[in-house]
Amino acid sequence: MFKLSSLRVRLIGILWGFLVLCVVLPCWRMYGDVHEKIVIEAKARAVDDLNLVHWLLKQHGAFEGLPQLQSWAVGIAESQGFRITYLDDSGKVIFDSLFAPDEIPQLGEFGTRPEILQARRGEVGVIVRLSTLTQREHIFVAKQVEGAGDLPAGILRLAVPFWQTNRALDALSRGLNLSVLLAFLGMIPAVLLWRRELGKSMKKFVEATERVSAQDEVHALRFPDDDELQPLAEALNHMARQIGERFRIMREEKEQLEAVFEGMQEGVMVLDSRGRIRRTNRSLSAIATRGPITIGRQPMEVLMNYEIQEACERLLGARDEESSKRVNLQVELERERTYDVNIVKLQEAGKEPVLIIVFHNISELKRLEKVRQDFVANVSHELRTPLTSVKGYTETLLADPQFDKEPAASFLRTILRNTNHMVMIVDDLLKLARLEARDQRMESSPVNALEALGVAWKSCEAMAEAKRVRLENRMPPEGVYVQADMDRLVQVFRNLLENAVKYSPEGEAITISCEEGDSLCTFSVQDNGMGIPAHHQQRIFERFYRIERHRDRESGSTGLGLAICRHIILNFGGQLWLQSPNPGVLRGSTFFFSLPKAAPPSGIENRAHEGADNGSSLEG
Amino acid sequence: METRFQQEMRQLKMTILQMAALSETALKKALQALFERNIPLADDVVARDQEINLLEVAVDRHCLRLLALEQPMARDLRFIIGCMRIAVDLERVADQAVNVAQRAQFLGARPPLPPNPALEQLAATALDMLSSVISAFINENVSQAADVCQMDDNADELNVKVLKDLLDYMVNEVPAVERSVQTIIAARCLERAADQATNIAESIIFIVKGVNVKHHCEQ
Repeated sequence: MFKLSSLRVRLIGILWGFLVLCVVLPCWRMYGDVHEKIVIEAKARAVDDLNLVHWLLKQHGAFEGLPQLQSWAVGIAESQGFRITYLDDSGKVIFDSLFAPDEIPQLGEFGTRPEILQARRGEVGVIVRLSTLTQREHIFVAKQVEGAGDLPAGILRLAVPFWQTNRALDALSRGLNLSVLLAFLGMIPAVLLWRRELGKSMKKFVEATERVSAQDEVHALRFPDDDELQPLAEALNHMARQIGERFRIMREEKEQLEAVFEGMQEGVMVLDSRGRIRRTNRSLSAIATRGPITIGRQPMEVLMNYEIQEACERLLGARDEESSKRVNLQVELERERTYDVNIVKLQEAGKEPVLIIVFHNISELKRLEKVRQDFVANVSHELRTPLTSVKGYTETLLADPQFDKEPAASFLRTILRNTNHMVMIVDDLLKLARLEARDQRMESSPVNALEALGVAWKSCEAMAEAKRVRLENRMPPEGVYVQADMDRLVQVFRNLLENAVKYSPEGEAITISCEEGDSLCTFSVQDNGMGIPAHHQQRIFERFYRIERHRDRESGSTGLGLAICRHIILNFGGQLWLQSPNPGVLRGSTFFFSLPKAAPPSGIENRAHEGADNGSSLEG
Repeated sequence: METRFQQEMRQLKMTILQMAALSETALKKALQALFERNIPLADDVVARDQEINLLEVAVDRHCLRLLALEQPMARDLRFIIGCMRIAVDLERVADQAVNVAQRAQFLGARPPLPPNPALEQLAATALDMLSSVISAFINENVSQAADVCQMDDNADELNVKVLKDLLDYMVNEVPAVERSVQTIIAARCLERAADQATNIAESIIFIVKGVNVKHHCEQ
């Protein structure tokens, strides 16, 4: 309810204090002074009156008996409004203006009254006290007088009424007290009212500041016209604008950071001091595929990798040394998905440590690195094998100049064959290099694929006949026109056919077919060989890549055929891929390639027919 | 704040996950060694089996200590019992991986057999089941565990298909009989690994729902 510290209580206290200090104390002081002055004044006048009565008594001369004296005294007393008493030295009343002479003996002894005692000591006794008869306040003055005539020497006493004056003074004092009380009481509602008005203004300020803290957008605040509070309102508005501006900057920065964080290709995971996930970005969900990434889990539960878990625990458990703030790992989270994982421990002074884990996908780098290593190893191996024979045979020939003609010729033939093989490899490498260097598409014209097939088959016919392998051509007899280059298309067919013949079992057929799509034509070369295991299928188009290293060498191929084919097809805007084993069986493989379709050039239908005849003659 | 008991339970789950990761890696590597004829990789799988065996012992000890000292109730009790069973199954998966790796050592040193898509599919199914069941354990996902049970039939069928294909092959290719038999054994190991994954799925259902679905979880 009313707290001592509340503004209104303190305000009332202060105002009351001021009131007491400025009004009540001076009033009381003034009242005291006035009262004192009046009493002194009244006493002096009473003494003057006493002296006057004494003088009149002396002037009057001798009285004729007591009754005359009595009537004289009554006359003066009534006219002046006071009481005159005369006592003899023993204190016995001689006369009293208030009482008839017959009543006087009943008045008793006055000698013990204080003013009488004072007068007896020779002073003028002055005293303010209640009258014993009337119980009202009077100023009693008394002095010794010498006797005159019948009147013995004694004490003359006057009783001047003082109670009227006192009553007026009391009324004044009451009035003063009442007005002070009224001032005290009147101050309470005034303070409360003022406090309420102030409270209303304050409430507006409070509401305005609450709006500032509640809203993101901060507008200028409007306050009631109030001169006293205007500076505060302006300061508050200024502050609100500043806060609003800072809000905006912070929000923008946060949004930017958020966008960077979410847009990063690297997966990011933030762990708290207990090793629980606190935040992740979008890329991480592609990395951690074990189910939903829930906040509060441990890295092990979303990554299933103990290396990372263990590294995190080690970092969090370690004391703060420079060496224990960063860990770099290379982990394979899934097959052929290798990540470079950086774990950094951040610790601000007085705060709990935080771990930040960044996953950088290096699978492609790893793959390229492996391709490069394999290429270097393979190319040296491929060149070294024929070179070894050339070197061996040459050394043998040189060692004995008298060599028989027949073996020498055989040696030289082997040297020539190996040299030719090396030339072939180098030619193919150069060809491949040229194909790879050409980024843009090669110049192309409409070419009849059937014609190209015919030319290609001619060059593998001898090999096919040796293995009794047949070609089954399922292309339409009029041929198919594609957008390519004749020589290169022949090369693609030749390489694929050579491979097919090489891996076909004896007496089986190779099937060529063609499927026309909307814009592309897809050709397929199918054999019934042993097939290609799945994990080799991705890499078989790499240069020198061999499934069985020892088997191919005898066949005399360079190991570059499929790589060349793929580049040619890609350069014409097509695709080359394979399927193995063939559908429905456990063996065989089919190579597919697609090329853009082309309209047959006008006026060469005859040639197409020739090609068709040529194609059909291939069968059998 | 985590109580000491909760910390212990979390630690138990972490050990199981570590076992799961190691068993899964072992099986993956064994299959890679089998299909890519990579003998050093197969040797590596055989050599690292001891690590998983030690973890199984550690899980056993941990669970017994928790049971004796904490006297857990309800779900906590089921979790501990389930973890003991899962640890046994995971150790057996690792054993099957070692078995496959030993077949890979044998086959890698000999001429290859023609590629066998059914075996590759069986391998993919077994790996998929194991990986799914681990996810189900992490997320305590009963429906995912039930899916694993469903996949077991597929694994059984693929095993039979591998067997039939290779029997046909052996009839014609007598020199390849030994290699074919080794391949059949590898397929059998994969089928067993798939069975262990099913057992783990049953344990997960037991932990989460408190019902015993042993031998009929596919329903």
